[in-house]
Amino acid sequence: MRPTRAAAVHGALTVVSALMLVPFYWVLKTSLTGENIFQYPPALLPRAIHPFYYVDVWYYIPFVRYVANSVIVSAIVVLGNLAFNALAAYALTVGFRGRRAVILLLLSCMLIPFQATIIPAYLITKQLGLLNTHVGLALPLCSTIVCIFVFKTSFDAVPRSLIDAARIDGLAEWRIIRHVMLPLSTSAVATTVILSFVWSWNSFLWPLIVIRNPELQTLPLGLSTFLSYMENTTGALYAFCIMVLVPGVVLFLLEQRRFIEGLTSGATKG
Amino acid sequence: MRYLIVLGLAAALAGGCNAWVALHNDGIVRGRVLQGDGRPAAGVTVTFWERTLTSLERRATARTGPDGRFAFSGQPAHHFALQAEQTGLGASPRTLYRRYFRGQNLTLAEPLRLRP
Repeated sequence: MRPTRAAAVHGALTVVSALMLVPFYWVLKTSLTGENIFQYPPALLPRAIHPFYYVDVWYYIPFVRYVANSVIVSAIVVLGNLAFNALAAYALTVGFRGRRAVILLLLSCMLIPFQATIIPAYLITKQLGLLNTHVGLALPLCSTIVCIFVFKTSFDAVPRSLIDAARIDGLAEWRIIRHVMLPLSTSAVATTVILSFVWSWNSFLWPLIVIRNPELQTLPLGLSTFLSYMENTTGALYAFCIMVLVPGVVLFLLEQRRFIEGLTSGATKG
Repeated sequence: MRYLIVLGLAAALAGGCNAWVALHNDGIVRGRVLQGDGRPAAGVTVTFWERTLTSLERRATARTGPDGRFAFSGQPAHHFALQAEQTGLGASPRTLYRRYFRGQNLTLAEPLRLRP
C-alpha cells in the first residue's frame, strides 16, 4: 500500500474509531460532571469535574459485595468454560460416528435465544438445589457453543502427528488436552476467558430470576436496585456504569492481541 | 508479567488510598458562622444532617464559640448538610457538602452566614 493511501486509510479508521468511542466518552464525562445529558447545545468538554458520584456509588450501595459476587460467578463461569468447552471441542476434533450431526445440532442450538430456554434452565437449577447460590448463577453460562467452536478451530490447527506422538508416549486423552492442546491454543483460551467473563459480568436476566437473597446480587442487579432508589440518577448512574465496565475493559486490554488472534485464527481457512 | 504489573499497581493504589483514609477519617467537620454584618456569631446552634439515598436525616448539633467557630467529630457521612440557627439572629441556608470518603476531616472553606 502506498504511503498516501495508507495515511488516508488510517485517518478514516481513526475517525470511525473516535466516533465509536463517543458514547463511552459521554458516559465518562457525565459521570464526572453530572450534567444533564439532554442539555442543548451539548457541552463537548467537561466542566467542573469532580469524583463525588463515584463516592456516592461506593457508599450508598454495597458495591464491594456486588463486585465480590460478580467476581466469584465470573471466575466459576471462566473455569467452567475452559474445562467443558475444551473437552467438547477436543471430542469434536476426533473422528466418531455422528460427529457431523453433533456439530449441526450445536450450530442449530445457537439459533435458540436464552430467553426461550430460561424456564427449563430455572427448573433444572431448582432440581439441583442451586437456586440462590453462586454456582446456580454461573451454571447456564458454564459452557457456550461459540467458545466450543473457538476451541475446535484452534485444536484443528494442531498437527495430528503431535497428538499421535503423545498417545504413543502413553498420555491419557485428558492429559493430551491439558499438556498438548491447551498450551498450543493460547489465543483460544484468551478468547474464551474474555468472552465468558464479559457475558457473565453483564448477565442480568438470569441472576434476576435465580437470586432472591440480596446478599448474592451481582453488579447488574445492583445497578437496577440503585436506579430504583436514586432520585437524581444521571451522574451516579453513569459513575456506576464506568465502575462496572472497568474490569472488563482492563481484561480486554491485557489480552487484546490474543483475543483478536483467537477470533480470527480460523477465519481464512478453507 | 503485565498481569503482575497491573494487579500490583492496583493493589498499591488501593493500599495507599486505604492508608490515607485510615489516617484522616476522624469525622471532624470544622467551620465558622458569621452574622449578616460579618461579625462572628457566638452561641449559635449548628445542625448536621446526613444525606441518605432518599432524605436528609438529623445526626448531631453543635454550638459555636465566642469566635463563631464550631466543630463536629465522629460524623462519618460523606454527603451531608449544615445549617446554623439562632433565635433573633436568623438561620443560614441548609447547605450540602460532600467528602471524598466517609469520615474525612474537613474544614469548610466558606463560613455559614445567618440571614434574618
